[in-house]
Amino acid sequence: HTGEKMVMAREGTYSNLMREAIDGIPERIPVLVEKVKKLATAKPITPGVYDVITDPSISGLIAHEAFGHGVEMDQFVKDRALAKEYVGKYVASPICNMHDGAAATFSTASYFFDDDGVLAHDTQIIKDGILVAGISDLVSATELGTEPTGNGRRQSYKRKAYSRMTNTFFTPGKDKLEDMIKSIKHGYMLFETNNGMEDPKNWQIQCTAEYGIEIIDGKLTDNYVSPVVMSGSVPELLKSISMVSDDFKIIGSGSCGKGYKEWVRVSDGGPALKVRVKLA
Amino acid sequence: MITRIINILKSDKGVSDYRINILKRESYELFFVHKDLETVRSTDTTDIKVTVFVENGDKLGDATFSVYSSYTDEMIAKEIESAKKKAALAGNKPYALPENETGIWESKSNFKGYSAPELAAMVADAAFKADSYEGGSINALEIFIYKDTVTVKNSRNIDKTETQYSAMVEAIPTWNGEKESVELYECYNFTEFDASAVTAEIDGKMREVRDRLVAIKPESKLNCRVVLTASELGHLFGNLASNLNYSSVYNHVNAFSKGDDVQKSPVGDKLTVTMKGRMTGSVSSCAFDASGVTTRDAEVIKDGKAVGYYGPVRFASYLGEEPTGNIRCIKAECGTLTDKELSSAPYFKCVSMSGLQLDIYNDYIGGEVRLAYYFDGEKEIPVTGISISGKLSDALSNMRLSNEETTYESYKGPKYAVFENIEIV
Repeated sequence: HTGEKMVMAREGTYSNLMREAIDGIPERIPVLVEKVKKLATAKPITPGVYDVITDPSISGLIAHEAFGHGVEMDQFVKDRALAKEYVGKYVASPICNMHDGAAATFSTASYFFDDDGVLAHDTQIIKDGILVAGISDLVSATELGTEPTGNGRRQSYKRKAYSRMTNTFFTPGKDKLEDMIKSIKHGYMLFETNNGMEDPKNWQIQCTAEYGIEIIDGKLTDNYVSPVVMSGSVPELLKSISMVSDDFKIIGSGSCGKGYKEWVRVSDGGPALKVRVKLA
Repeated sequence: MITRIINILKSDKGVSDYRINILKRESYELFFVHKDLETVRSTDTTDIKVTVFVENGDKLGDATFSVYSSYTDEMIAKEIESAKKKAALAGNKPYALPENETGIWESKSNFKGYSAPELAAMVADAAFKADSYEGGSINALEIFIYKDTVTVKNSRNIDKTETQYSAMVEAIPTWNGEKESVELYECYNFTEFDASAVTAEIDGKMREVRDRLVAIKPESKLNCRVVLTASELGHLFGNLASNLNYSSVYNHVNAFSKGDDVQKSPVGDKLTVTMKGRMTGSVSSCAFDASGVTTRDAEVIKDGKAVGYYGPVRFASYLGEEPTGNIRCIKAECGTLTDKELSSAPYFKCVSMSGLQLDIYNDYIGGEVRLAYYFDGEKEIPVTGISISGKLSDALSNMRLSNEETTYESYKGPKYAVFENIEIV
């Protein structure tokens, strides 16, 4: 509390093991204290189109909101997904690869079989920038004449199963994060998912990051902006990916809805990405 | 089953108090893909949640578990034992549980006059009646008809039951152009069936999606007033009011307190908000909350100032206040802005957003706009692909509220509000 405004910040540890998650907390506390001090000075961003580096949670948010929802194949059945027309075509930069699957990595949405009884898969959705596959439940796969991918999930036994994401992520590339930051004359590095919204038909995206740090002449500054809303066209965003870091993080503390209902646990993440996008 | 649970709880001396929450939900669900009925579901489920309270010195802990219809007495006893251990680890400040009140309520609804399949079919017919445009269609339609019987009982003679009726319609109106196809998302909740109202709601969205196809991205920056409508206003005022919930105040996460200005130096209409427990037509209306407190209304903001708190019994008790129950319906008073005054100058009316983004701590209001109407002084032009962004405090201080009231979901209040100094980007 600065006297004029109150600032909130959060830090977390992520692990499938309780002990590991708890043991990681003490080292996050000084990070949290520093962060909240910086956020107390955060200003609103000047809206515009910028070069942006995304942290893994924002990369994951893009994977989930921008693309994941667009390739849920029950939307193909309903003619709701523009992605249906782009299978086999370039939808992203050639250095971009994306996966989804309960068996694709070990996180909160990992399981052995889905709610239709189909075994978990690792589905590569984007390969070298080309859309190669969607994700489906049993009913959608039957209607489309495809193999189900183990993505039939229901909120509870009381609800219908739909094609749902599980663990959704971009795969690591070859670039070093420090080189990615150095490559930006003026832009921002964005951190921490707040929320996001999908628009699979029109391939628009809205994602909110908790905060960003201004980059000037290839260096992170002390200028924080918060919150930051990223929006625009999905293909434009994904085709603008020009660098992909060689590290990887998956974060499993999110819930995903189909519209405003049917909540299931999901994870998303990946490496850092360099993109060009509208921020406000 | 409930009697068995209560008997086992009463026989366990380690349980200081208990509460049982029961939700029996009967649903009838239709899932359409285009106009084809793909799936019909009917469910009759009962959720039983038992909360065990354990006094531990001067602390009070609680833990909750579910009981399923297949549970034996031994399984229930085992769950209670496990819950007691967990509750003993939770060292919370004690509070007085609600006591000595019983009652049976039934929410007002004409659903009772129909069987669920009959009602679902009538809702579907009413919705598809709006699917009558050349070039437009409803891509997907999901209809959920619910009859909920909500019960709360506790160890202090609380025994309350309410029967609630509600329906949810999720529709995806689509418009197909020569080169592209656009859609909007519609989620419509109601407690009273009126075929013409359902048709009108979906028809309104069909016309909006038709406009989204021809909507343009402005070539130059727009500088004019921004208009938000009922769905966004419910979210905005609800967000402000949540700071005056007892739990926010007790946990010191409220951005303002009783006596503070919610609107700083208002030059527009002053905001008055009452949180209500029961509101005809609202799916969030309830006679009592999950703790068993009978809901009552609370005026929380008056003329731009925070004047009261509301919320659940636990935090009310900690703050020395009377509980209102966990109430979720929002009533905002209308203002002075007429349609004529609105049309006297250009405006940008947001009718479909990806989601209104609010951050009180960072003084931010904004979001992506899927469809808006830009009034240039003569006509409304559909616009898309833009965002709004501004300072929340600024927006609130110059806000003008419509003098016409409307009801949307859990919100009753001004039909629209106009804001200056919100950037259109």
